[in-house]
Amino acid sequence: MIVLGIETSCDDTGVCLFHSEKGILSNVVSSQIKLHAEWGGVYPDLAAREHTKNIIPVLDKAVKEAGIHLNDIDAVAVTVAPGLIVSLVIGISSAKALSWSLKKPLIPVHHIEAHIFAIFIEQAIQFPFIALVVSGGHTELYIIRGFEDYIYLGGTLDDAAGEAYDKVARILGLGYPGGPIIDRLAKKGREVVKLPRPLMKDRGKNRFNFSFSGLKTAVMREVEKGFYSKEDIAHSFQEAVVDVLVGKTVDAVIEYGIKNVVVAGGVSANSRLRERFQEESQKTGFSVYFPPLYLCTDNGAMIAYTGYRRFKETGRTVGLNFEGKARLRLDRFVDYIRREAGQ
Amino acid sequence: MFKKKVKVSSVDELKSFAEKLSPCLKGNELILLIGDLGSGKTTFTKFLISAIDLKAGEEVSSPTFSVMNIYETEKFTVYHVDLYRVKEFDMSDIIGKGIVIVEWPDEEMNKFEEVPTIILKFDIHDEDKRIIELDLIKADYVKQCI
Repeated sequence: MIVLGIETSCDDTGVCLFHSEKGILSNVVSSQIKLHAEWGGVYPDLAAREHTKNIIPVLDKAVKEAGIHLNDIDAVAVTVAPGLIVSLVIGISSAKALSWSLKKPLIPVHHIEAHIFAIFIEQAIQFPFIALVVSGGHTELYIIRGFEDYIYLGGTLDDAAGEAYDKVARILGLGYPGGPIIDRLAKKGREVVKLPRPLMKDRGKNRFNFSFSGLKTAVMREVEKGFYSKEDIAHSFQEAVVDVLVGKTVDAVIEYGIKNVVVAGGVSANSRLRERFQEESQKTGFSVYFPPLYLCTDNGAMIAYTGYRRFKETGRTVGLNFEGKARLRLDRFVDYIRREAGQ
Repeated sequence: MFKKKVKVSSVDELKSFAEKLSPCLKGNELILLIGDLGSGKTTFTKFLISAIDLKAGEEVSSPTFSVMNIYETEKFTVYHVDLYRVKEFDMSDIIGKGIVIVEWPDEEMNKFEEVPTIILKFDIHDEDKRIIELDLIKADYVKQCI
């Protein structure tokens, strides 16, 4: 079967056509990062307008590149949560229009779920596994026992890891997005100051939660002192973030006796994070998997694939009155669509 | 307009300040939080909402990326807006419908004349010390709580 996937939850308008046997037929992404950099920020209305402007050309290009006709599509999958609501709505409305006009089922997909399952496009991972999802807006740890069988372990209490990267980049007077810039700069620096590892040793209710707000403040303090170079601060900051992300994930691996780990989301592209996970996996004895780089950032392929998987495994589809949600935790999303699907 | 400066010397004192303030809120206020990165705006928000509804407080996280988080407390809805990376945000749909807390507000945001407005300016002094400058506009009833 062929599933069309639409993603508009954040800065990128993504459309993909996924074939159950042949894999990705086309995967087109139009990014607004340049636009936001140019204006020095996001205009939510402008972002929504850009999605509105992009969605048809991106869809058209995806269909043409796949060499199919709209009528060949068997189902439409779309990101319904979480995200900027005005942006989500553009993708959802487009998906509804297609679903209605083509008379094909509409499949809801959760953005975080899609990030986690993106890796299955290239390789199957054995359940159960620990999933660490890290991006600009998210830092969450789950046990994935199977498709639609998710246990939430923890998440950030304040800033997401990617957000900390962006804000530290701003403190250091670097550009946007901060992740790749700091990653590059950190390679030229040393760990000159041991920055805090927030909640790292917590064995109570915050054992699997994260907090990066205090770390950001600590970086600011060091910058104000003016002793250290940007490279050294970038390096020290990255070591602290990576230590916490890897440390908490390994703690979950040991606690629950799970042998596989999937690291997903934009920050999973970070070179130091990948390096440290590789080291730890050998030391502790687990396997770690990262999606290929083209699937780390937001894209339509992960939506199309996860939608296909949902259709195949549970057949949960929704009607045209289904509404997106700006905030909805992945484990609760499963309950939400179960209710909506009347199952 | 009422003005006051409050000194908090630790995270715990910030929490006490939020806890003291919370019973005075009627549920339609606009709260503007001004201050640098790391000055305690999100932390304060978490404490304030926890004081209103402990469970809702657990939901509070930085809205920098999502732009707006919505929390349903036992008493009223709280809209937690962050304009750090955002330009031009239309608040007309939410203003007065619950407590609207705005981090990184733009300068024109205290023009909602009909709405009781609380402006909190966070100034960083040393590691955990903050001077909070508080302005009340049409919200004099909050005085008794601080």
